Amino acid sequence: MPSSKGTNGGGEGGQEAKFNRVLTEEDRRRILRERAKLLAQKEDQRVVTLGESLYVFEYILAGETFSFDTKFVREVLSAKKVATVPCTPPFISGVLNVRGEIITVLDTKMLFGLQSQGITAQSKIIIVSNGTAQMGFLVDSVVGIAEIGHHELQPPLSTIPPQQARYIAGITKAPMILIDLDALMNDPGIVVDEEVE
Amino acid sequence: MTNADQEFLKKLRQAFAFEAKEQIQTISTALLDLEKTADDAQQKNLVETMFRQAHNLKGSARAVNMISVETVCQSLETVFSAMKKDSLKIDANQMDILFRSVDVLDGLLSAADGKETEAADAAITKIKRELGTIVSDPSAPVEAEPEPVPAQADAAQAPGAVAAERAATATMDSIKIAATKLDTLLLQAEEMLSVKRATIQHAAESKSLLDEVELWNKEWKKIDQPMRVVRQLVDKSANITMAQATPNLIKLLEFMEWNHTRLGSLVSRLKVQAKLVGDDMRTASTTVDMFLDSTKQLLMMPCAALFQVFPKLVRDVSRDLGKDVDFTMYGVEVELDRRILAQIRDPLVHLLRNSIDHGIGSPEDRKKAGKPAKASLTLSVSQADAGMVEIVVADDGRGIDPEKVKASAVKQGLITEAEAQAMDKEEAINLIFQSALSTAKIITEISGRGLGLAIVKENIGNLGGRLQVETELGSGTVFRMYLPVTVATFTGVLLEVRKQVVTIPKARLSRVVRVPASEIKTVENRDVFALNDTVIPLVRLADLLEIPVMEGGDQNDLLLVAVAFVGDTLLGLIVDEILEEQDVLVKNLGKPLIRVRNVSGVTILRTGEAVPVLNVSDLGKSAKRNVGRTASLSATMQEPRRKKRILVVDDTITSRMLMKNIMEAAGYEARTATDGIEAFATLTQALTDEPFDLMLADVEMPRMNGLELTKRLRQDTQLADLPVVLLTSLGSKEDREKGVQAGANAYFVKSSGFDQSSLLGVIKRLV
Repeated sequence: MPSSKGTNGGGEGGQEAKFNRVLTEEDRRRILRERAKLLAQKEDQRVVTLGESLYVFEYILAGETFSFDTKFVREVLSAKKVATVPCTPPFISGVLNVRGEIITVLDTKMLFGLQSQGITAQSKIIIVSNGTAQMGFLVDSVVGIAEIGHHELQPPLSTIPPQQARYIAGITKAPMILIDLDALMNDPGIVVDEEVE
Repeated sequence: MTNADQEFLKKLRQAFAFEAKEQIQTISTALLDLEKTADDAQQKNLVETMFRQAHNLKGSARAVNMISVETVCQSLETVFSAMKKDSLKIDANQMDILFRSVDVLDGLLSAADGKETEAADAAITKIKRELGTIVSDPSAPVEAEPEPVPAQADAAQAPGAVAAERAATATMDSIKIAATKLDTLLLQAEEMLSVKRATIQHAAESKSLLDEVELWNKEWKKIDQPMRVVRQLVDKSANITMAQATPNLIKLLEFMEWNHTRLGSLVSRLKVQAKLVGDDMRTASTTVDMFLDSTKQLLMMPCAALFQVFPKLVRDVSRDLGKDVDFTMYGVEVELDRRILAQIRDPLVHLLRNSIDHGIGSPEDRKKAGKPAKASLTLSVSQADAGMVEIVVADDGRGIDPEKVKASAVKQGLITEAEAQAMDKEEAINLIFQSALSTAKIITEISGRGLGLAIVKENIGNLGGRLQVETELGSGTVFRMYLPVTVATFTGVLLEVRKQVVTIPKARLSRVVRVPASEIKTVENRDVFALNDTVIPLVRLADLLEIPVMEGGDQNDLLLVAVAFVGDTLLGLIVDEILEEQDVLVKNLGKPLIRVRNVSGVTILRTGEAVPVLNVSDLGKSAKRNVGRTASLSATMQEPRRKKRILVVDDTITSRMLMKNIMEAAGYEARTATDGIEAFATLTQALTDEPFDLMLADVEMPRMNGLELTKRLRQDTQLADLPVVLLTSLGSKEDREKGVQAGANAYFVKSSGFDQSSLLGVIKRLV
């Protein structure tokens, strides 16, 4: 397991420094090695092997652990310079300038129906991309990369409100909730398209 | 087919599509020219051109496996060949067939991945047959056939015009750029490397200077001990003799000298560095600015790129409407930012259509008026003053009748009879730019947006341009459009409202004034103030932007007002502070923010912060909606606000209770009445002490229904002005009209999709 996955309390401080970049060297090398292995295999074999494990990027929201598939994660930034945009719904925290690109930041807690304190000194923004669009998600803190087996993923409990459930790809025993970022980013419920009548 | 092959075919098809569009456009233009000219030599050239284009296109189509295009081209080629060799003359109907074949080709190209649909197949068969008739029997009339039934969702528009419009959008996706422009750009891009090198050097020098300071620190630490000894000597705190102290004093002195030299050298290095950085900053600024300019130049395209589809469009629309139009374009080589060209496409199409449809009369009408049967329509482009371009659409048609415009405006409730009488010709003509339904006498749930010219004018305004009209009844109409040559940067003024920073285009700011609270008046329930004889409406910008009030509230005694241009009028925006001006580059908001009210984009300041850019047109609209808003400035200072009273009239208990709850939840005081008669009595009685502000009534009631009640109210001298909103389960047009005739202000249908918020919105506007 990568050393980046520590306990929530004490580990935080040391982890902070590492997560101004997304991946540590060790993580990078490990992932590249795994990928090289996968690519070296024949086509039909590859299908089976890919099914075995998944690399996810974990973060904390209101004390619970969530994650995205690492393939979406571009970078992690501190939440200092988010500019508020007037006349937007509360789940839009604002916009951020990332090297000249304007990226919209969403308050993840609000999307999931949790209480949100907005931007605090510890919040982080995870910049994600699904190939066509880029967005930022405001989270309480980031944990790091973890590897989970596909077999570890269970469907979400029926007790989870539909507001959250439609974004959930699965839950592991940890407990860790894997978010379907494609579903989230393409959800028409987060689109703001309003004219002044 | 393997993956690689498929990818290749896809790329090949894209290249084909780009080239094919050009070839089809050439054929189309040649056909138009052929129609106009009688000169034999010119005709021969045009036919030759068309033949070659059709031939080449046929070959390319075969290469990418687009059989449909290939077969149509084959038929076309046969016709052109006959025209070439046998000097075949083409009459008007046959010309139509040739134009239709161009449309068919356009359609085939636009279809996704060249997939053939049934409708396309039918169209292909038909056009081939028609082209065949030209060659085989030039004198035979074209069979009149019903159009293929399916897929033509554009039944409302002429198919030809649709094809032309499709071509217009397609033309703008990929552009041709002069190779020289790219060369310049590349050279300048390479110069940017020097900027990078300079930055690297400065970074290294800074680090080196820092190392110097580290070194100094080390020396400083060394004399810590000697300092202590000398201090003891001075403080007489220990028995230190001069002999003991002297070596330490010497060490101190040595340090002082070392320090002096060191600092001296550091300072001179810093001076050199500061100068270098300054120079490099200036060079970098110039390099970057020039690079930006060159890139912007890439975006400049001759108007012809957009306008080339217009001749065909005009031809098709004219044929469809039975008008005979001679269309000429001037100045199409003038260059405009392609982003602006993209935006004026729709407005120009609209203006051209308007002229042909409303302006120009049929050939018979024109003859009767003593005009030539062929109408003249021109589109011309010319450079205006610095950085602006003038585009003119002129026709020699009927002109605009100011009386008719006034009558229509009065009918739609835009102006009153009295206002109409008072208007001069210019004001009357400018009414055509008003949004038709926004201030309609009756508001329904489906209140449409103002169509056509209002939107055209607004779009042009948003680009930073203007639209004017000149007209002479009987002679014709001229639409004059002024546009900036490029988009890109503009100067923004930063404003602060309730601790948030926003920016507004400087061009939209008239001036900034301080207005003492005492000068605020109320006119028709809106706050206003006077500036040099003009009455300007006043709103808090923070309220328009829905920014919550902070603790401590807003400043109320002396207000800072930014007066903005909204269209042709002024609007006073109350702000907390005016910060600096900056040249800003507006960037679009990113997903999932597609369109945000009052915000047109985001800009990045020099500090790297993002700041929202306000949409002034939206602000104007938002300000109008804010009438009767919560924080009226003069009201809060003069009288305590009282709750508005609404009378809910309905014969069923459930409806009454429901409506009463909704009204009270929205902050109104609500009373009920069970039918029209009771309602009338209640309203009259209340007049003496606490009159009602609005009546919400059901239409279907016994004894006196909603319509009769409304009529009755309008006849009563005291209650005639009471706002009335009717609720009904009858949603037909006739019922709505009955509502209008009775005198209701708004009419809502109780259906399963009943929209509470829009009802409340309307009520808020009316009370």
